[in-house]
Amino acid sequence: MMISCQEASRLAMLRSEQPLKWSEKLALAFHLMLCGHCRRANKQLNLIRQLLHLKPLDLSAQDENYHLSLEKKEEIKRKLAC
Amino acid sequence: MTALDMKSVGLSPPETWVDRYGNILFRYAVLRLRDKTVAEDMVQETFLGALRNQDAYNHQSSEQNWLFGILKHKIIDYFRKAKREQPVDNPDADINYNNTFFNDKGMWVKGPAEWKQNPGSLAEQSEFYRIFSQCLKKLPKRIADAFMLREIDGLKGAEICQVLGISANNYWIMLHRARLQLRACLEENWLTGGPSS
Repeated sequence: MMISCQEASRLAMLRSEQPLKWSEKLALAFHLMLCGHCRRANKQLNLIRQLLHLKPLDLSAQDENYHLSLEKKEEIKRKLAC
Repeated sequence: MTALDMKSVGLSPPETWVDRYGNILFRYAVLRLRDKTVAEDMVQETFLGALRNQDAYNHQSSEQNWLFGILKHKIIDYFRKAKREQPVDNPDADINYNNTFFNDKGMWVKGPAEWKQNPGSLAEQSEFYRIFSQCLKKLPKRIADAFMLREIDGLKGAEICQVLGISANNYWIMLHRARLQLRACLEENWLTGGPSS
């Protein structure tokens, strides 16, 4: 019997963490072969993971609401000069 | 590049670091820690650590990436020390997240849509990072911690369990939930929603 999308999604996550059992590998491969939704979700997740690995600093670089306070900047500069 | 040239491409004077990199490191620390005071301390420790270890700079990465690498280690150390003060998670409390995404037969409630934009193209990448960070902020902190330790810091599952003081089973549940929620959030806020022209 074919596993559910929920179980396929869980196995796809687990696959990135540890080797799957043979039965799990087969069940996942069979499900992905037949289920376009899960294939798509999988592909999108892989893309997300690649982009995060590429430029993690860009996640927050544009967050211009946050600045290191002037007092803290001065404090760190003083400590760096010691 | 000759050996002499390599040597001249060294670190800039430490007193210039704060103005150059202070904000970018601070913003990243806020994203990871969700606490401005702790983030300030982490940035300070990063600069002081860098000052002490200038000799270890190997010229293979940019100055910014070198400092970023030190900050990442400081943040992981912080999580390690803070875990004793965290309440123990109850994984059962989190198990219902599946209902948001799957029905009682385990089928997608809303199947993943085809993404209109191509996030791989360079022009669209800055938008990806901006919206993704908003999605990360919507995750419960512990789940976002586990996800970023895995996907940004590249720690192995066993290390993450140790750093956060959680079981493997709990970690898998958190990671699964993070991935489902982040994919859906990105799709909703960028790739199919909003103005695409």
